[in-house]
Amino acid sequence: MSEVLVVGSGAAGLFSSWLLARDGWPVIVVGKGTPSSAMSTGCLRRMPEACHEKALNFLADEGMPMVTGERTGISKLGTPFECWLSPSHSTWGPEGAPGSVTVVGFQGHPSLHPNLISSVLGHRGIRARPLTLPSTLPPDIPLTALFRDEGAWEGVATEVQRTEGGTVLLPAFLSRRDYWRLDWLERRCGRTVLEAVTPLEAPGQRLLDLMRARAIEAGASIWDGRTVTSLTVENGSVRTAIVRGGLEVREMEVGALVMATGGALVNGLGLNGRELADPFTAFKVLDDGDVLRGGYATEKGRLVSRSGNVVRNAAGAGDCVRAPCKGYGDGLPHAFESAWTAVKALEGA
Amino acid sequence: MRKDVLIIGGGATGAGIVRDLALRGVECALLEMGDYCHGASGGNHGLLHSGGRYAVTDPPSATECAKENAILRRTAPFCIEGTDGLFVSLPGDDPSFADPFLKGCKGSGVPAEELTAKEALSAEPGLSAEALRCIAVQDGSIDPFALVQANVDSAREAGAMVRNHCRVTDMVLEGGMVVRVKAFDRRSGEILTIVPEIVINAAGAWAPQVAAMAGCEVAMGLDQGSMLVVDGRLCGHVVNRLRPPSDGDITVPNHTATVLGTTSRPAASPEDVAPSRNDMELLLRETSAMLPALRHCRVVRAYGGVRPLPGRGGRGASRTFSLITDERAGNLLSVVGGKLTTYRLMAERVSDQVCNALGVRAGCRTRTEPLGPPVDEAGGSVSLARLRRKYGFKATTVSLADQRMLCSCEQVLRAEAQMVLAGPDALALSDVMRRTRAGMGYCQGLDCALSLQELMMEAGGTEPLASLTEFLEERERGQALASGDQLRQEVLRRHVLRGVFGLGERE
Amino acid sequence: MTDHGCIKCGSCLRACPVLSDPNGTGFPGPRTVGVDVPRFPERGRIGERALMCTMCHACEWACPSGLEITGAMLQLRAEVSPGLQLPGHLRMRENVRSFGRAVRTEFTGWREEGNRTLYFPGCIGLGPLAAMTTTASSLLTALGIEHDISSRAVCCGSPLLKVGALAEAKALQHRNMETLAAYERVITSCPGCTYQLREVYGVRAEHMVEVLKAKDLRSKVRGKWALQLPCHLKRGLSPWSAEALVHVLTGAGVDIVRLPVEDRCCGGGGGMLAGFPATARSMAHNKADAYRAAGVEGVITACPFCALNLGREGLRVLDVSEAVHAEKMR
Repeated sequence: MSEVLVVGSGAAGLFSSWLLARDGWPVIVVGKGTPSSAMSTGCLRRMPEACHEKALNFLADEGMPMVTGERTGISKLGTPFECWLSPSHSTWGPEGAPGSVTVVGFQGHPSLHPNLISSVLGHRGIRARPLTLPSTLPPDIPLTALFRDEGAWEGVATEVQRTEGGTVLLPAFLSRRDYWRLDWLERRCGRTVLEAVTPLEAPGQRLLDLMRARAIEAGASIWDGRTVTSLTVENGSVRTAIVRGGLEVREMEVGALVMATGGALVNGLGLNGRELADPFTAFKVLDDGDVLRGGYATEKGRLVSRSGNVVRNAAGAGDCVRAPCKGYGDGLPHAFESAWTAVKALEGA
Repeated sequence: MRKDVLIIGGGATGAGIVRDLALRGVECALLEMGDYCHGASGGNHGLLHSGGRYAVTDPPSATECAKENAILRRTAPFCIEGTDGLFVSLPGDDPSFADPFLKGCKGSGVPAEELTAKEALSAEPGLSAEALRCIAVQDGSIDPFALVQANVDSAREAGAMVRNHCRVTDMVLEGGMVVRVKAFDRRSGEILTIVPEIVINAAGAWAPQVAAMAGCEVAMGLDQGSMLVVDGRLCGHVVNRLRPPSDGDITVPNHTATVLGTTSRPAASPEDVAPSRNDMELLLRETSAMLPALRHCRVVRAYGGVRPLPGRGGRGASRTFSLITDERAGNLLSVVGGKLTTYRLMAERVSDQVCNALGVRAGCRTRTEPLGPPVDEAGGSVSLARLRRKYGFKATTVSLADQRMLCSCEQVLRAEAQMVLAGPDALALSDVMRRTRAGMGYCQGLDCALSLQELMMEAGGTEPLASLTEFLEERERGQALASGDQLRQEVLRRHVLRGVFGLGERE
Repeated sequence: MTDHGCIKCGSCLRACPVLSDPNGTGFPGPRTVGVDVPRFPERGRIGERALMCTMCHACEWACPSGLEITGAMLQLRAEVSPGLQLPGHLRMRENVRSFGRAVRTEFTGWREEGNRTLYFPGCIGLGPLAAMTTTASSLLTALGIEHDISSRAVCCGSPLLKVGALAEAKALQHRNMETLAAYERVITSCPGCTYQLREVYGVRAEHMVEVLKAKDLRSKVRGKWALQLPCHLKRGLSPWSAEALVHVLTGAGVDIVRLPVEDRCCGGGGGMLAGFPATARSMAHNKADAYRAAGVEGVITACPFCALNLGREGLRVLDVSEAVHAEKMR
């Protein structure tokens, strides 16, 4: 049978492809560029409706355990960060609030700002002390550069142990593979270790890496560095897609399509001035005058043509889809919910 | 404390006066309620006038501009980009404007030379191929913040007391003279009291409010103008429209950006600065006729300024200035009008008058005394090559031991922010921004805000959330009309700073 | 110009293989060099560290705004290079001036037989990896593709472009075009040459992987082998071509181990090898460590720069043409 083409390899695309692949569909995920999910905090602010168990299943990770419930963490500004799902070292549950915190940063490196955070925590009534370790690392260089060997970690452990007790707050820079270091540091220093919650850094990328691994395990093919440049829609169905990768262009037949290209932020939706637009000029986009909430019109998950007819074999998921209740912090939960809806719509067809 | 002269208002006018007087040995003080250039000096398009613009309508003004242009280029080269200027006409423009323009320039001593369209296109490749007549003049691009700061630094060095974030709250009069002036110092939270011989009201659009504290009146027109900051230097010259003065007739290259200007409408108050969507569309439409690349540009920020004009205001008002005295407060002198390019001359005239009244014989030194060093692109990085442009003589106080970056958009070193934070003028993050340019680039502080606040904490700051929120809201004021790529940037910025970090109110 | 679309997300910085190497911290990074500095009138002051880039396109692939960062960096190089005197680059240009190639020629098996197909080995293939060229040539012959290897073919010019020597690159192009005029088909083993010939010269050039795609092949190697997917093949030409390398090898029965690091830059491209040898070595060394940790026999690649740079780390590195036999032996 013709493949299901998932356009976009972010959270919505990968969750859709995992669901479809597990149900035996041949799935090709086409994506290019960093999706919004890879720039996220790696946490879900709220529980996605209807599909949360599936989502938990999807995000289960041995190397980096995920925890759910009423969780709170410390943001990179020192402000509270409340969420429903996070990696285990990012947040604490209702009983686990720290009484005092040692904030670890590296001189002149933006990965964490000990003085700023300590002050903000202090105003919140949490005793906090900055621990600024010497460093000459340029700001654009990822912090991993300082942690190439065991000695570097031993050095941090030693410095931490010199400080008074309390929770240790570290910059968030570890990959899934190295996440165990946080457990190691906890054992080594006998203190709770937390990672600061922040977007635009490692946490989003490692969430994405986890999702990709799960999708590939389930049997989806991922076509990296490729974009869908046009689609043909005939008689109410998507028929073919033109895919570009580098200098090469290929045409393929499409059995079904999940549009998960992302919002205007990642150029998934086009932006003319302040108005959203469909880059494929095939489907209806509703703007509502709000670049965050606007996107593809959907009917129970399926895309709608510009003339208003439901497209039989195409559905939309994620930021590219219109959702009046979408706001800051809703990106990931909405991605899962809409992907679930989209897949049900396609499987029902 | 006693001072011979108290100057109220730290724009170009006030700063120029305090410097001039201090260099003449007068004991003076300047108080500015916000950061320097709070008013019109910080809300213009940074044009160093050649005088061409006034050659026909206001020849004395044109002559003044031409002379002061040369003086500033000599004494303050560091804050001036000697871009020179072009006046170009396009099909549909009044063809009878060009010849009187040339004649007017000649007559008022404004250097001007006609070029063929081909020569103009060669000098300015981004110019529209439809350019008809082209006249070269000596416009330049000037950084008002650096200029005013240099005046402040020079005045301090000569013994003046200069403070920003000090708002004059009231004046006490006795016998028809101002005997005491009170001001609230935001830094310390305390009330300052100054006992002045003479008070100079250089508060620009706020001059009527200040004068009212002494029971006096200043008649003034307020006129709002809008400008757009576009990312990238899309012209090498200042490009003007060769037609009678109108909206959207100028583009000015400035650091890493191009400023498009300007519009004109009556302003309800000095704070009535906000540009409208119409202004933005008009500016883009008109300027892109001269420079077609502007059709696909990224507007980083829309801002406005209020021009204080003597008398009733409006586009036709004379731009020369006036000194207003009022018998209700004999020692209060209000300075009204003027423009950035001729600030020094204004300051000289006011200072002459003040020195006369005080019996001070020393003459004006600002015509020749350097305000800053020549620009010399020293150093092996973009950051180092730019230090003099921003800090003038103070460039040498930036430590080069650690050359790590703070702001990528504007290639600002951490050491620059540290130098500014160690000085007397930085209270808020936006003070650091105006001097270092951190946060002025296209990301409008997304990347550097937290790092900048950390530096402030290291320098003894105490209220980081309030400080960051103030900075965030200040940057957001220019984003209300964001579209295209700048709208994408703004979505990300809000998501990170408000959505995740919870600054201001979570939306 | 990178078209104004940058939103300061930092994705390019996280993707850059130079920035994550301990000897790469001197590189200002793709955002500074490709996006921010070009906006300054003082951009010429950026200095030689702007050239510490292998042109691997990882930044472009990561960019959510679709910016052509690599191209912008190349443009800045062209501007600042005349003022720079990196010894390795000067040596390379001197070589080109003297004998038309970036490195000393070692190859001697020229074939000028009037065939319709030209095999264009490129400077590395005619220099330190001359043995690879001999093998590749034999493979082509065994596949029934009769071909010349012309002594008149000079450097394709790509390395010259990377150091801003535009006029010299153009001159090389003219010389090569004269030679190429006699041929209908050009095959090369270097993705850099492929790109240059195809996109800059406008000639129908094929990379070896594309030629081998449709052929019956047998493995020449035993044990498990990892892959070095060349940046300039996967991201410079087409990701499908990089996948073709995988199919060619698995189709021939080579036991391939897929590793996450396989498409990370080896550190050899973009003038890094000549200009900043310590960084190139460091990047190769770290990749070699990753391969060694996987316990493979060696690495198979499809790019002479990768083969050269990785090969210097004590790893067994083969070009694809050295890893397979033609199925039908003559």
